[in-house]
Amino acid sequence: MIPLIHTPCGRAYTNGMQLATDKSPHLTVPFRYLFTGIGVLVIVAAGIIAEPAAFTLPFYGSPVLLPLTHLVTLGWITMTIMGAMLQLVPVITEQALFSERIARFVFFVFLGGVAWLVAAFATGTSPAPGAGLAGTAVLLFLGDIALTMKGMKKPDLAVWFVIAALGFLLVTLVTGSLAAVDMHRVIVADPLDLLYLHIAGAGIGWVCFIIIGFSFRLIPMFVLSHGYDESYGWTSLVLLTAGLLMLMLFFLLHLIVPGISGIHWLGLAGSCIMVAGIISYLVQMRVIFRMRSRKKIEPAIWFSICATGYLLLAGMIGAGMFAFGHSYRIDMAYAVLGLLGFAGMYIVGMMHKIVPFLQWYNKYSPKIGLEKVPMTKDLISDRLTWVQLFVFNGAILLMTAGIVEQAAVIVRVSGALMLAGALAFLWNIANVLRK
Amino acid sequence: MVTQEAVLKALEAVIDPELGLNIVELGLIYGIQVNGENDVIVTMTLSARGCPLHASITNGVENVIKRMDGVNGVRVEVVWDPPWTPDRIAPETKKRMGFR
Repeated sequence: MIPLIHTPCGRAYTNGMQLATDKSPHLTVPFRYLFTGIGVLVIVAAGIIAEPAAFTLPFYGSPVLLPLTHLVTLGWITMTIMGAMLQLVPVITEQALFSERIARFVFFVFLGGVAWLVAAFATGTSPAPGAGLAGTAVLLFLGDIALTMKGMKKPDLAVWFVIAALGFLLVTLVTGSLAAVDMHRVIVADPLDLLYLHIAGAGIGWVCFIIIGFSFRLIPMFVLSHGYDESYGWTSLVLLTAGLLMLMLFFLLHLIVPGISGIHWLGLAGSCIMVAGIISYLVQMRVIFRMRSRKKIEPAIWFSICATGYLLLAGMIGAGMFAFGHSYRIDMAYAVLGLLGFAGMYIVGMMHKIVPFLQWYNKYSPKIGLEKVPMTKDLISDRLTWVQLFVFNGAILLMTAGIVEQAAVIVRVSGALMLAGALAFLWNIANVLRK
Repeated sequence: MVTQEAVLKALEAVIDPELGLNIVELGLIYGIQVNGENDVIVTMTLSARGCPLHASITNGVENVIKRMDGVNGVRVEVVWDPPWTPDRIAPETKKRMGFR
């Protein structure tokens, strides 16, 4: 007699293996993060149209640039990544999310913190309360994710990138908090050194590592790639981590030993090693694409291909800044290519795959095998995604050109393009919920 | 009497929503056993470990078999050895779908 277990609807057997997506939070939890992120992108685009000169005038601490930068990094990129992580970490680690309640709570604290922080930068008041709130939310989020990952089996390449990214997020939090409470420069002599350390931790350590990590899991899944060697991916992990640590050490030494000299090589070597890491990542992606079964590449995947190109460009500019010196224009172009080009394009592309899947899973998964169900691609407009691909690329390239040429009018046009792309993005994604 | 062929045919109704192929065409079914009491055991795999569609597809397999006339009980066993590769997709299906 075969031992049978009659399962209730919605559960299945796994021979001891747990059901990954059953362990993810309810759909409304990641969606509140993801849709808020898109809303912030629309605000950012409107901000670029309204104040394009903030990107061409050499003033890092302007009451327009600082709020916009934090809207991009925290309100859009980090908000979206947090939402995606709440869904994807349980999937890639095969562990249940530690606490859905914490995830729900974190959203409101983080949103409040970012809003306060941005308002403080815009009005010239103290950013400490906002930073404190956002920092508390990030700490709670880190705890929730760390406890989720605690019992996982042997980490793979994607998981190691996620672990490294979370470590760098902690560094970002510490340096950001220090900058917020030390407005009068009591602790730190030169705020620029602290700012560089904060930017390196946030932009490279947190954002790039987390996106690269997820790409190692998502891209092979979507292009149906199997049986490939991952050695270039592991090499990229080692090189990127080593390079970034060297770069951060360089900034840290400048921070704690004002006026230190003779360590320029450290920053230059770190940035060059990171470029080698990016090239290794590119080669790994090429290996994955060469082994794919699905010949046709969807527009959402093209976003990630373009994003990888921007990553290489940003990495090379970063190394060039150390080798040949930098200026406000180069700094800004570097930030735009890294944050909007790499992170932004990757996020927009993956959202076109993740949101339809989540909606399909929520609405149609229980009906599979019982009635005809749509494909995930039926839930979203491919045509509109193609349009967005060109519009966003145009916006990023124009914005970079506008910054390099210090032409506010070009930056404004790029903002208009970005707004059009963001609204099309919002429309396309929001429509998924109606299907 | 429930037959293996009938179960396999029924499983064609379970579609992978990302790829647009049914799980039989995809080569995810490794074995079907039907005992004397019409209990059905399906041994299958998924295209990737940690696949987000894990629950959807295994539920779908249960759903279609439970609806078959004469079936007493059903059990779905997901195994990872041997691992699935695209080579398990039939060549004609690959050609139709534009797969390599």
